[in-house]
Amino acid sequence: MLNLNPYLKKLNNHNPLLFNSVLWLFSFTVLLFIFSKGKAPIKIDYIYTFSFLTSIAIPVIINLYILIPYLLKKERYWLFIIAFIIDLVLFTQLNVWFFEPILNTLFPDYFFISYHSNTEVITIFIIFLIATTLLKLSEDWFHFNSDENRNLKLQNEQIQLQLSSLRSQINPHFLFNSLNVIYALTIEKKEGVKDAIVQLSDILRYIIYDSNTEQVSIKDEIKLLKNYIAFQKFRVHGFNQIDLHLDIENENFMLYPMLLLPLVENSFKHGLKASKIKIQITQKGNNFSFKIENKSDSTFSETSDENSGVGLENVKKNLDIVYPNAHQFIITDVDNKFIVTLKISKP
Amino acid sequence: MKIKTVIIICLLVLFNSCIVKSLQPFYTQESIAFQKMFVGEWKDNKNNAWKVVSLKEEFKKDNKDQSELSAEDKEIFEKYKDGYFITYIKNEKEAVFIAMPFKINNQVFMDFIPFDYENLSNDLVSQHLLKTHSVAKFDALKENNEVKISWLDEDRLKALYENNQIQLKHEVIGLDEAFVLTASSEELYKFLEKYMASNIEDKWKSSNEYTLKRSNAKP
Repeated sequence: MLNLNPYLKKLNNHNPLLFNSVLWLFSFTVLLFIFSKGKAPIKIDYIYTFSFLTSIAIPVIINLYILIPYLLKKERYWLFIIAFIIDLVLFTQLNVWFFEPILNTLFPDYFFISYHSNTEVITIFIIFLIATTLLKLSEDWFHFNSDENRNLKLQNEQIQLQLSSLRSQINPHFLFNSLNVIYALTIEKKEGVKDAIVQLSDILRYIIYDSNTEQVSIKDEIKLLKNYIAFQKFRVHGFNQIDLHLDIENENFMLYPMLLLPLVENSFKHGLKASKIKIQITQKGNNFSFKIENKSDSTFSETSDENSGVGLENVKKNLDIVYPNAHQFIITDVDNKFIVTLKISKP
Repeated sequence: MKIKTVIIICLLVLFNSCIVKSLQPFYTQESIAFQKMFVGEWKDNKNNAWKVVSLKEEFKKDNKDQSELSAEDKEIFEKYKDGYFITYIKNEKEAVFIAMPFKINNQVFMDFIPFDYENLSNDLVSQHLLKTHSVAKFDALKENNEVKISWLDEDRLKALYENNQIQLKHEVIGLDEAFVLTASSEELYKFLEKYMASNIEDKWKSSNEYTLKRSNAKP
């Protein structure tokens, strides 16, 4: 049986006064039109329609406010069907037996004759009960849908807030490291400080402005990495040898920005000084992979920097948000060999 | 001149009280109740003659061997066997009716429908006319030697329609605005039931009221 439960259970916005006003006003108009046979309604038609509506309101109210909330919404589907049929049959039969005698007693001077046969009464009751059930379910669905949309909007806003927060953590982190490098260059009065500042300026421009979009091309990300590597040449304690291997099929392959830099930054920061850093970037079809390997300095990474791992953790959080179930992020640290592998498969 | 005459005739018909006419009979098959006492010869208060015979007896006379009846005839027999064949003679001119007796809460009624009439010798005219049903309250008086037949008057029904007190299928047709009920027999029966129970004053007062006395009744 169809599982209606998820949206049936959510019902906080039902306004009984508005719902019933609209329902019964609309029903009165339709029945008045039917009972007056398409002609201009006369006094007797108004009396009959109002009385008939009163008789049909009881089973409809029972269905709307007892059967649907206590049986249908609690997934007692068979019990609901049985109760619905009993409600329908009982009140239809009561109408057939007692409606006209009561009406004739209340209005002895009126002749309610050519309105409907017993078969038509049964048909009207069936249509009414089914239509009002569907109307109630539609109302519930409408409110459920509104709630869902509101929740999705809220979730989206929360994700954007989270992403923005993660990015803003990357920038100061990188800037702090870079300023340290410049500071070291200045102290040692090394040549090329100006070039280093220009390169840092390019990197920061990219981080602050260009990367502030949802997607960037792989070409721009690689340019950033190359700039960053060039900038690292000015580091005080010697430059690591970089083995950058690119196998790119499509330079315009789009990626979420600033995923790779923190990984390279992490290798430079925590890798063994003057050791080799291997970077392998591959892109084929919808698949992208990035692998970075360096010799690790376990003594340094475990003790000296309290911010150690912040960059990797941010990348991991970002990946969970922007590529849910479409990425692999593996960190291995065996025999002083630190390897980070990132694989992304776009749908 | 001719148009003026037609309009005057129409107005006369319009303002003259008539009996209520219906396309369908006023009785249901279950309500039929044969009244043997009505069989015989009668004279009404206007000295017109009424000859009432049982349709069942008439059928038997005409078809002594019932096996000779066709399926269609048998159906008609079953439908009308409890009715009467009434020959009404007014000014030496005959009109024949079929009347069906039926009861509503112990009150006897008669449903009349014309069967044959000799007034209209013009075939073309008679082909335009539709035979309709009428209903009359039937009361047996003076040890069944007198009966009172009061037709349901159109004025009573029209008053109900004018006051928006009734919802009963009907049509108003033609130049003379003839009023004809189009409701089913079940609806007409239901109407009579309610009409009988209503508090309407003079509900059976009619311009078509006849008191019939048995022709061979002892004074």
